[in-house]
Amino acid sequence: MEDKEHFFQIIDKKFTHRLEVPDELQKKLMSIPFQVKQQKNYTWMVAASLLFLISVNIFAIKNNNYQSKKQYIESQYNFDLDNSNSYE
Amino acid sequence: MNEEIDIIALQKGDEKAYQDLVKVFSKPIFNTCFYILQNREEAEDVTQDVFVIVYQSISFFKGDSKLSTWIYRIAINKCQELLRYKKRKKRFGIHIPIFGSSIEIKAEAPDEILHQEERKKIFYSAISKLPENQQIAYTLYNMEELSYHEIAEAMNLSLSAIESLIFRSKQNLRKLLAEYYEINEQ
Repeated sequence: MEDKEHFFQIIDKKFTHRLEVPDELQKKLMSIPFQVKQQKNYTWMVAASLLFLISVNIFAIKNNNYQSKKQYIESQYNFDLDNSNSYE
Repeated sequence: MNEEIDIIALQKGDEKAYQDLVKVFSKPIFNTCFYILQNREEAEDVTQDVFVIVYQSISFFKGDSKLSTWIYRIAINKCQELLRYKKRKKRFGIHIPIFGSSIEIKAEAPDEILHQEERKKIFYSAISKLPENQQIAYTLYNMEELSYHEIAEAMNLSLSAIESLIFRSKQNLRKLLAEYYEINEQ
């Protein structure tokens, strides 16, 4: 019974023991700014690549449209010329 | 603790200030996580997450509370997240032993009383059986020696709520330890 009460005293005691932070963890914690910067750079690079790809695609589509339009106008022009020749 | 850290330099991204922060807070945060989660690997992972969050969001720290309280709050939230995740997993039938192979408490808590490994396990097991908020409040009060006011700020609760949580945690611990003795006496 005495032992039980003795054991119960632990509830109100302050714990003095502290675990040491493992060296590996300490190193990881110290390198967080470097990791975050690297991650940020990586994100920027991915964003820039995406932007570049989108721009290339937009350019390709626009260029394609322009070429089609040009071809269409040229064919129309040739058709008009042909027709005008045939009237003569 | 705060006086040792140059918060403005930290907010400007100064690495020296960050290193000082790690030197001052890594041990208390690691210990808090360890006593709440009672698993070394998980405590290491959470500590790492906490410092990533601290580094990324230090610019949002307005100084309304102490820096230490702010960091403890992040640590508590991360621990709570993990505890809830573990509970959810357990509910869905995946067994994670909280006290079994995963426990490796080596803390020589109140040394004069807890001589035996078994007693340590019983005590930590009892703490882990407390409701989440009581467990955290008790840990911060008895192990990290924070004041009621600091715990209230860190847990985002009122002072009276913290007093009640700590009181109830001690009552529950008594009950849990008494149960253990009753079982063993039979």
